[in-house]
Amino acid sequence: MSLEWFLLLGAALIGIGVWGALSQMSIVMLMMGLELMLNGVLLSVVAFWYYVAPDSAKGQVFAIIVMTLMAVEAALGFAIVIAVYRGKMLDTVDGAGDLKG
Amino acid sequence: MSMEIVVFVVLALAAMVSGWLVFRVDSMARATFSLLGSFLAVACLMLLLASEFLFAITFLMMIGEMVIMVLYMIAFMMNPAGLNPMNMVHQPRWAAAAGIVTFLVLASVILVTDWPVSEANPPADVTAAIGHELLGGSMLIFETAGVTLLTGMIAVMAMAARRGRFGDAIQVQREDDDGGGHDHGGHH
Amino acid sequence: MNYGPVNWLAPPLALVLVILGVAWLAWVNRLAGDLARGRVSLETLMGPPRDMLRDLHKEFRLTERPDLALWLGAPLLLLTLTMAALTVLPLSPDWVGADSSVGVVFFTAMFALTLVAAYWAGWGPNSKYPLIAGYRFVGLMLAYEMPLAITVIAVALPAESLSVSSIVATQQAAYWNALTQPLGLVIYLLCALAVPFWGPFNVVNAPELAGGALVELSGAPKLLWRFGQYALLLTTSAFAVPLFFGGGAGPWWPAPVWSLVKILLVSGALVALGHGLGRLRLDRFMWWAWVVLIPLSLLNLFLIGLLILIWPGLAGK
Repeated sequence: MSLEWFLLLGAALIGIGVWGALSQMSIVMLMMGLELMLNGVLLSVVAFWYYVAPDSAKGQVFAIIVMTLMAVEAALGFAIVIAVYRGKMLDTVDGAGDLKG
Repeated sequence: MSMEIVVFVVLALAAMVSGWLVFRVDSMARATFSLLGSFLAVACLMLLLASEFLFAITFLMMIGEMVIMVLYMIAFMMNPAGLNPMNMVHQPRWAAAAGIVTFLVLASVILVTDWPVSEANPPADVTAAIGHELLGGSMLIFETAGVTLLTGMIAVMAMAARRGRFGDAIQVQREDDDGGGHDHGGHH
Repeated sequence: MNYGPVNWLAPPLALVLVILGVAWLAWVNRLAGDLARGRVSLETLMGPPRDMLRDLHKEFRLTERPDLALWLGAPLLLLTLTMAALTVLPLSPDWVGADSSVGVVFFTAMFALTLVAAYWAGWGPNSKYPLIAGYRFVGLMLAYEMPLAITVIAVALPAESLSVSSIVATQQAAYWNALTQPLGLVIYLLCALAVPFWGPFNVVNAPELAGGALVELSGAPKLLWRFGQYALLLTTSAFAVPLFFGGGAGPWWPAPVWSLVKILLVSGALVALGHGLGRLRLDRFMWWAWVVLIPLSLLNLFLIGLLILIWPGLAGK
């Protein structure tokens, strides 16, 4: 098992996340695509720590910060979903394009 | 050594398949729990990378996050149990193409680059090393993350709570709502 | 990553011990209920086995369009998380499944899976009373998970390690955590009641919701769900023994025997306490956890840190 295996798995998760985030109409499903992408990133960070720089713990701190930011992003995404719903009574991205163009 | 390869292959397949299933199942509850399964498979993969603390922390956080997400899914999605299959995708071909292109670009970068793999071993007690690092050299990052979390919480309260910035919108909406459902903007 | 040779005797032995422990808890529960009503008789002894046999021979009824994978997965997940959490419980320094260096965080993570199991039991049957019960439990558990996590961190502080065995070793070298952190013990025991939704926290099998998750369950899955609840209560109170009561420390008997005796005593006490504490409305419980227990557990953490700085002898140095 080498670094490339873990990175390829991370890339696959990022690819699936991109597909999901771009194809879903509902905001919450789009967030799930973003979470999958961050999942791939998290795995890649830990793989890099283990194979490239295992003697210091900074890679693990990086992974903890990535996880913290995942939680913050999810919470803010949910708050945006609620605010959009309260303003416009809809929960898809297609109708929420007011700032476009 | 071979046992580790078997474990890696099984967990990698579990992570990818459950990640793919998130967007294919009809029931919204099952989609969220399949995302949780993908996260837990990745957390178990971290055990192969000598990161026991991250494994346990990922379990804790992702379980809480996914259960909260399933509450939102059931509240906001029009078809929570998947009993009437609906097609809620837009630009499906472009999205699939973007996903495949992303994976190919990343995979080519991964396979072409000569990674500086180091021969060093992880510290004997990784958890203690993390602790010393968090409260030592990376203290500034730690504090900044804490302040970011606090800012995020305040922003969430301002956007979503009744006494927040959009609290009055709740009143207005309740007067207009004649009991009908909500529309989804766009088209089906 | 090398945990040594696998001891194939450990999982069956653990299962046998859990079954015996659940039988003990079922009888203590029955006895406490009958004592409260003043009706102790032969029925107290025969009641639990008869309930078990009755559930086993009833058929499993389906509801209309249930989510069968999640509904039947709920009791299985409850039992799985219990056995996984028991992996890091040391009955003695030699009798432990796998002494992980992050044992404390590991079992907290396993208890967090109760959220998922209770949600599945609520969502699966496609019926409104289990759904309400499951949602209520999510709110309750999210509130009580925080004091639990902070209190176990405070317990790990004197040992300077997250592994449960070193917490036991530190207590055997110095003082039991029940003496140095009484506030932490009370908070932990409250959370140990809340995680398996027992007694006053029983919002999942709620009597006021016509049984909650038990409404639509029948037959063997119902027995497994209740077995899983008892097993989880056994596990949460079992962890109080190595974390607060010194593990297998005791005068004459060997360590595993003392551990088992202490586990039976603590879990029996919690089961009986469930009959004594009253029910409040759910949001009062959640208010208690967020507004009172979290600051108290942070205070506990601060106090034990201060005490160790002043008297290093408390940590066995």
